[in-house]
Amino acid sequence: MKDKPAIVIPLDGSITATAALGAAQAVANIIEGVLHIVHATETPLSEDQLLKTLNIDSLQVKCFVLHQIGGDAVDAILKFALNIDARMIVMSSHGHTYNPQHVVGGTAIGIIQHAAMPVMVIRPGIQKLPDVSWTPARMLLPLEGAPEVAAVEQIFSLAKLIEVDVDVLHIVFVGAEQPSEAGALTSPKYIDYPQYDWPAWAEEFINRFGAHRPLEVKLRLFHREGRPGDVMLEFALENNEDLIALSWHGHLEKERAAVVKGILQRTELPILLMRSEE
Amino acid sequence: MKKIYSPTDNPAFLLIEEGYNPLREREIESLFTVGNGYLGTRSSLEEQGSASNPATLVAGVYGKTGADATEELAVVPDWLLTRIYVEGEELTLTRESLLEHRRILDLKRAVLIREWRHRNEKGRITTVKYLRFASLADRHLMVLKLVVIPENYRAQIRVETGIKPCQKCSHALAIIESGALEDTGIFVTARTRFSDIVIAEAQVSRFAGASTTPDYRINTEQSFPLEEWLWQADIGQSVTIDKFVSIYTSRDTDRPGPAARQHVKGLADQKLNDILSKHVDAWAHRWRTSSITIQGDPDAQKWINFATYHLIIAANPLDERSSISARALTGTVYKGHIFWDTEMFILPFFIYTHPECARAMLMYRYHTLPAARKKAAEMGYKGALYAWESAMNGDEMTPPVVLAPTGEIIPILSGQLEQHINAAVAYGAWSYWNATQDVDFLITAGVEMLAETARFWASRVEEGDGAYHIYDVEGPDEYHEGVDDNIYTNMMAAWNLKRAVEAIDYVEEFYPDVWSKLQNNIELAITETERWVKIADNIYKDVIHSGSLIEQFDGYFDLRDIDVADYEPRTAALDVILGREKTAASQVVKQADVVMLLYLMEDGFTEKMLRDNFEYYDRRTAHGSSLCPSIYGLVAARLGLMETSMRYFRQAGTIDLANNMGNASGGVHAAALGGLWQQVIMGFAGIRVKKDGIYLYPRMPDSWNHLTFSLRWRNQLLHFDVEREKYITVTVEGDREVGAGIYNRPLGLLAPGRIYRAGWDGVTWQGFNEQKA
Repeated sequence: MKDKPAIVIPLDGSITATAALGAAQAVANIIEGVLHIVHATETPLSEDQLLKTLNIDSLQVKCFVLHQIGGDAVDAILKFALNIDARMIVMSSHGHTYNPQHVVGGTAIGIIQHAAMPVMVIRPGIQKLPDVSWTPARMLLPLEGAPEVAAVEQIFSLAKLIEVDVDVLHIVFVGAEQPSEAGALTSPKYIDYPQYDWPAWAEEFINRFGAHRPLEVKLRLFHREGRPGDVMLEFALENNEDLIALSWHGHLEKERAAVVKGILQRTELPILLMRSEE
Repeated sequence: MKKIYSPTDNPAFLLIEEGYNPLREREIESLFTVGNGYLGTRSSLEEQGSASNPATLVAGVYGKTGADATEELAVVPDWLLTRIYVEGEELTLTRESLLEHRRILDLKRAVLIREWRHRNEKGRITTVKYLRFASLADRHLMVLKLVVIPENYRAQIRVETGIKPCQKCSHALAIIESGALEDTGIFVTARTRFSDIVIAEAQVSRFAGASTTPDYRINTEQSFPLEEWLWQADIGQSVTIDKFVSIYTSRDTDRPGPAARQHVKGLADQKLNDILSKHVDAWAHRWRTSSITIQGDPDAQKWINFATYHLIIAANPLDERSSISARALTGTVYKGHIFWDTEMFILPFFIYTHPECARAMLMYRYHTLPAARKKAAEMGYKGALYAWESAMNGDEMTPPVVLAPTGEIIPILSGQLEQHINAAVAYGAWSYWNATQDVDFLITAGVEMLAETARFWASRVEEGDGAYHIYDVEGPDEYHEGVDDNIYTNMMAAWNLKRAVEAIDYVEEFYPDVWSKLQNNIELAITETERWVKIADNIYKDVIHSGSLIEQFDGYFDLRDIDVADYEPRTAALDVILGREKTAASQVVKQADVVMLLYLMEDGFTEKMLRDNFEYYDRRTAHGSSLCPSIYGLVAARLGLMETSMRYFRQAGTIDLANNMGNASGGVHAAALGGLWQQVIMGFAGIRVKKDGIYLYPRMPDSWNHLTFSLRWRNQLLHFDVEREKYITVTVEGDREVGAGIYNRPLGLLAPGRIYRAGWDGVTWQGFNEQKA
């Protein structure tokens, strides 16, 4: 079990939190890994009691472990995930304090802002919750062109792990500022000769952000215009994406992460969040 | 390395990249290209990393990847390849091993220096230095110098250096043969596919510095040949390997292989110092006539030095069968194709600093006249219509469509509709003739080019309403296709027709035998030229609205009006934001169209018309082309709109050099660089070239205190020294008087060896007066 890749799902005992259980089980099965179910509590319970408390009727993973951890829930979950070198945390956006007005609940805020590994967030209100038989085939990866290579490479590694192909989507809109970082690449501002500039731009974009993707991961590149959140959701629907991956800076304060918040609030798909270095 | 190998002292001539960023590697490769007009070599890492896109491109060497594929400049085998092994472990650039890394392009001496300190897992630190150049004194010669110093260890070091075919490139050529030369050295011979141009590269390397004799061998076990040097290195011991590579093609000689071998053999006894010195001297000579100095704005100085460098390395005065493509010899994105960029944006630099190169570029157009005649005939017209995209022989290379990542299939109509290229070629030919009075060019090539392009226009126009119209055409503004009476096309066509008549009259008067022969060859009747005058005088240009505004094409003002500023900020081209249909239905303009006329035909407009039209179109121009900002900046400077002009100068100056846009990944934008030069000379210095001489009216940005530059004019060299709103000093180097003056003042005759000065009276420039020495 030690050598098997680990998936972590935190559960707080609410039905809301179990919205992510199907996806967590499915991913654990796909990667032939171990599902680590984590419950933060100061009162130790027996396994049967734990299963009952966590509203887990039946688990259909081949390999799982139940954990009870103490202390602050967010810190404890993050520490746990780091210690076992988890490939991913899968969680519901909300728990027992579920308020649909809030984009994400308190624990989820802490996890997605500070996790060192990708976090898959499932909104409990989506129409089709992934269940244990979920087999995602296609992942949407919007990229704005900032040089966040490490995060993107992690997403590609994950894509290989969960056996999905990737659709990279570059969105342009009025109001977008040119990223200031050296190595950024956005839509070509000068298209002297589209018959050459477009293919060259596409090739360079893939070279910069997809150069180290595993060969098993098939990649398509798309370019759209419009408000990013709207475009991502529309595109995902039109192209039968199974999940959306977002590389982001990790700050959900007011005035920041408008697109991430918008997606989390409106999505009908699991969202995979990966923090990039700022 | 000795001082001769150190970069020049002046930082304005140094392009420096510290560290290593694989994301930007392909851009850096383009920006730091070394070349000499015969070839260009991207500044790829010698050992070729995973982000490398190495390419050496030889002008005119086109091949195809398939029978139906388009011609493209073939990437010849990489002559740089060099790998270093310490105790069998290759030194590669990784984050963990990198202590120091920098590349320095010395624009003044045209050498690329690379400095690298590597530390391996065992703590062994190796200093590696490279110096490379493509000799301007000997265009078939490339040199790579390597210095290896083990800083803190003793170990066996092996260097392998060879010539490697490009793995990542499209395969427009195939290797024929490779192996060892007779004594030492290696060779590779390749042939382009479908065009059968043979490329021969030969290499010898020399070793110096070890205390023991190195082992040397030639390794032909891999798919490409290598010279290998192996030695036991001592701590701090500096070893040098000098590599000389010669390249010849069947465009140069029937026997390129022997030529390359002979050439490289002859270098074996020459000192690298001497070879480098000759190269540096050749560059000093070029900089003498091409250099622009700007005091007060270090950024501007660097941008213009960068532009000048890349223009110089793009051209070969000895090759009449190729010209400068849109990305020159720095990248393969545009496949080495030649557009109107060449004549309108790049050629002026050469006409006025190195006319020999300009002549060669124009002779390329002369040699591709047969293809231009063919294109005109196929389209049902007379005379010659130059290809919109040209390669080896002048055949049309424009593809019919492109698939954009937007998912759209975009039809490319330029190949059919953008016919103003004819006027561009005519403009180039006439400007060269005017600036040089090169009679041989005019009678050999120029008059025929002008006549045949004029003939095309005469057959292209349609008469109606008492005027001659050009329907269903595309001007420089490619957002609007299939328009009627594009004013730029109409007026340039008229200009083309008139210049053709003038050229014919001149040749007929002074070289009647030549004219008679040509007239018979192209079967030109007198009635034709009479009709050309009538067309030129009556071409539809009744396009003035509201007293001063020029309508870009028929119906333009009926389109939805748009202010481009409403769509800022944005990171994409405006036609991508709006969509092609909406763009075409609006007044958004891609690039200088009417504004280009305000530059080229300035004297045909009143001051009010110039100003009103610049302001009108400026608000509606999206600058979707890299060709655009410099022209707007030029016109703005002439109008005294200095803030606007500097904004465009900065935009143009950083198209390739900005580190957050990736524009240069596929090659530098040669036309933008030529445009930048024009903005300085024709804009800020206010140079206007007329039949009788050169006029100027400098209007410099506030931060520029001093501007100096030189121009070649009718075999004389004029030196200009402008102190902002103080003095303009001009001297003539040569043996004849030159007509020069302040714009809108009478022309004077300036004699060589004397000093002339014009003063600023607080409001305007006064005329030139001779100064006592």
